[in-house]
Amino acid sequence: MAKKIGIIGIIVTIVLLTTSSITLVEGEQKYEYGGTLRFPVDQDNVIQPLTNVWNINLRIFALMYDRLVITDQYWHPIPWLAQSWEFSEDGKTITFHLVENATWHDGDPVTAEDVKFTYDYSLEHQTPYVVGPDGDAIESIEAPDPYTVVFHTKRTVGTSFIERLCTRVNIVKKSEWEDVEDPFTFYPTVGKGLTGSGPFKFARQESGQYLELAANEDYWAGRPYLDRLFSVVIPQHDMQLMAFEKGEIDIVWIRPADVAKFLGMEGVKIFKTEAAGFTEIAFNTRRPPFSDRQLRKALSYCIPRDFLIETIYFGYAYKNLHHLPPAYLDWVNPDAPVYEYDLDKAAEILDAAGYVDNDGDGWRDYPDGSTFKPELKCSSTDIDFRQAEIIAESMKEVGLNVVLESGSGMAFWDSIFNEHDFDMCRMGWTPDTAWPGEMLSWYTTSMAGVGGLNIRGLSNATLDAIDLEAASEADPDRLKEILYEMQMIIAEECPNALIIRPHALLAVYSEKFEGFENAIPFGPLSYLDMIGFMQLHLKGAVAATTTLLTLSVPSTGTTDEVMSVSATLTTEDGTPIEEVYVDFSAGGLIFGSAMTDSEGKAGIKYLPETEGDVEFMAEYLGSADYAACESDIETSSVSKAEEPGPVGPTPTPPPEKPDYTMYYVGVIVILLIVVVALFMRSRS
Amino acid sequence: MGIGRVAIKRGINAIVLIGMVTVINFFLFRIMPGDPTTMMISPRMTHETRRIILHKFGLDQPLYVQFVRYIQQLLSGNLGISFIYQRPVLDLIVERIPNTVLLLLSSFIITVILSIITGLVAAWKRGSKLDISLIVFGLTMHALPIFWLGGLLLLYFSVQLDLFPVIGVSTPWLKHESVFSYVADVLHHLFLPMMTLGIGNIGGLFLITRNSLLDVFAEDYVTTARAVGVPSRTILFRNVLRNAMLPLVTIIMLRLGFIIGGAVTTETVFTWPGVGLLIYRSVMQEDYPVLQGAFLIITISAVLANFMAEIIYGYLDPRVRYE
Repeated sequence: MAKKIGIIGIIVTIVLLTTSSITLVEGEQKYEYGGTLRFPVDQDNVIQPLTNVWNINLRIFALMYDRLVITDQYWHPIPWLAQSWEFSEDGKTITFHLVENATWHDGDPVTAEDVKFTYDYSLEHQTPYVVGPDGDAIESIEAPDPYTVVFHTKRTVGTSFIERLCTRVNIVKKSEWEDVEDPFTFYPTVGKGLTGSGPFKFARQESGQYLELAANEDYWAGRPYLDRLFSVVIPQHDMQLMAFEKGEIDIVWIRPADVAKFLGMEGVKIFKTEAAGFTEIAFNTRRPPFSDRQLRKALSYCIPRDFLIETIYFGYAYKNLHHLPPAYLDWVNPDAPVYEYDLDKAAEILDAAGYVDNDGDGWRDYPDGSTFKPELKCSSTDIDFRQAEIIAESMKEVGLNVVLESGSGMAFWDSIFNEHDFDMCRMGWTPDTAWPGEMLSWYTTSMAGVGGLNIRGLSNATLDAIDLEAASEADPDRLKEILYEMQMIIAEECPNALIIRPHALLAVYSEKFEGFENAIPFGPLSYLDMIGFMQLHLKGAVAATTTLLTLSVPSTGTTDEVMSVSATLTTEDGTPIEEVYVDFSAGGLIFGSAMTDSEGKAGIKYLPETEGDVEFMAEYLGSADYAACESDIETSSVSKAEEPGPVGPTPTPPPEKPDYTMYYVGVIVILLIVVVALFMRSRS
Repeated sequence: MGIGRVAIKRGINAIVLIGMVTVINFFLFRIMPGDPTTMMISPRMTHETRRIILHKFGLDQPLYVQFVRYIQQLLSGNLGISFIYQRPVLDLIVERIPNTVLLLLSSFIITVILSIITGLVAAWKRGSKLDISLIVFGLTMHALPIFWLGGLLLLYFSVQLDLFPVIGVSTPWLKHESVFSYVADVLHHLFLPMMTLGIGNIGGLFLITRNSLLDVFAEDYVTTARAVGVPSRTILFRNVLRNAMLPLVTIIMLRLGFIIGGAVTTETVFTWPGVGLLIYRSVMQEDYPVLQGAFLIITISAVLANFMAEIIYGYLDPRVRYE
């Protein structure tokens, strides 16, 4: 969904390179069951598990339906409904072994027939989940026994088959779906499509009001701690904040500007996670002069990222220089060229390429002398528009007469995705699978058609060829080589200027619920974190042992230099506590969590963005065995990095919060004038 | 000319009117720029899949074919399928009508009662400070945007004083012991939006009541009644009020017709899940089957109310003759 690939956040702090280990519930009850968690959505959830691809619905599907494979917080695949799988020698046959105790919400067993049906049916109707190279590769599917599914493929398939396809397709019940003619126009109802096999089951839905899910007490992987979930429909974000403040919902996603408001609120915690999503200026490489790589490069040097982060995101965003976000850890090619903010360099390239001012009007023209007036399109959403505005100003500084054009709704998205009618366009994207090659395949020719994700229209034969190779590569080392090369080609082609990666900010009532740390770094309730969801529980589990948490931070640091922060968790007599998560916060905002090692030590890295004192704190949220505890606050002073700081365009003052007193005074004054005027009239 | 024939004639007029609105409605949304399917089609889909979906919704047909199909479906009671919710439009609207009618009818009753009382007082004490204050109040209310008034009430009573909930029509996660506690819960949610709409709409009706009362006060028969010593209270209720009610009835009937359409701004401010909120969301997402359906239903109810008003008027006012 074009529009929905907005900046709803997920993902990994750079930090957690350690292998993940997830303690699933699996029969062993650690906390008391119970509790109702309420979270906001901006419109009714549409439960069409095979065809709908909106973020707010993916979250629900992940809870109601099982998938063969799921991903953990660090985007590693976890065997789920398929407890194991093996590839044949030639890589053309994959055999999945299903768990044997999985049941549908109505009690029937989940069998290989259901899985086979789901994939066959999805392929027959070409649903969005199976469209793409992985789905195309499937030749036939067999179910030799109730717990074995065999996929035969036309070509060798690799990790992308598991991590991209199998983590996405929701398994539905054959008996409910087999006579559905058209999944795109079919609306599931109770007993007809809504029966899943996930940790939560459908309870009821009131149009325009809420969707209620109830815990699946017989879930094969152990029941979730929470009893009920409410997805409450509140269309306007301001109203969501108000409802949160009043305690009518338990968690809410907030904007950078709202952080200050919630920081001091009692019982409220703010989780900050780095989103995998990013924003960009896409160049329309289909039309001249943007087909000129030199021009695209010059423009890429014009993005004042630091300035944008400071003024628009209040510091809650990271610079984005690579085509794969750091969340993908070692899949990111560190040698790929980056385009840091450098107006001199931009001017140099433009001069060399012949974009000079010919007619003396102060603006650069085409090399052939005619007037050059590139247009920058952006959506009229406040934050998008201001971002584009600042970038346009910066481009004007190098002498390009950029015209800003904002739009919204169908007409806007239509002109970008279908008509490709733009010179430059500000866009935001979020990947929806863990497979690292996914985001890079968005630059291939096959995605450049009408409605495709490659709105830049980039077409590079080498890139297309190795993208297909990546989709069939099973060897991680070779895959890494391919992806490195893809990143190299894309960065060289420069089809877009990367801007920033915003943080996902989530405010929660931590007085009421615990367990959010298991959902970091994904950000709870983002659509891939079913695991995090299962760990959420009511606060107040009985703890046996008191604990101590000692924090150590470097006393000084510089901006743009990663600081190592660590904390040691022990019992009072000094015994280390292993394999539990410790949350780290800076200035009251939780920026990540890390697991303790055999010495009870958890380490994390922190990148200070601004100078000044940073107050660090570590916190352990407690378990059935160990009590929660907080460390003392440790301060370290951060100084400005040596390198000359980039200079942005003339700063615009940050927006002030509206002060309502002026409104009140205004109304009273107007009322007084009216009263006086009427009295005067009645006298005369 | 009998009232029956008049009713038939007016009925035909009403049907023609509804037909015209349907046609305008259909083309209005087609004039809007952009491809509506952008919202429902995933960029992941292949060109072939897109084509199939467009075909399913008939969007690949020429406009006149789409129009004929639309009319055919309408006649069989099918308002189409929402792009966003993927459900029949009629279901979506019908589900929300009870909420909307509850809010609009209750607030409308408050408006009518309050504006008749204040109108009466103002007219009776004409020229007094009370009258002027009431006029100022009425004009202010008339001029205030209702969403602004609602926002203020919400901020003050719900957020500051914590007296009322801020969202919805009831509390879904509460288990109600009896019907009474459920009703109490709904009333608790209803109070603020009801008062916002009730008070916010008072201006116009109050001024009309006051002015039509003043007109009647100036009639000869009122002067005569006064001269022969009929007590003023009797004059007010027996002679003046009854005659002054006529224009009021017209306006009340006309406004009743719009009750089904909901109050877009108030419902949005209070997150009241009625037809108004549905319209707001559909506008934001350009879900035009829903908008088309909602507009059509609003049109039908407004035209019907108009038709009823005309018929009832004939009975109420002996001066009105159908000729």
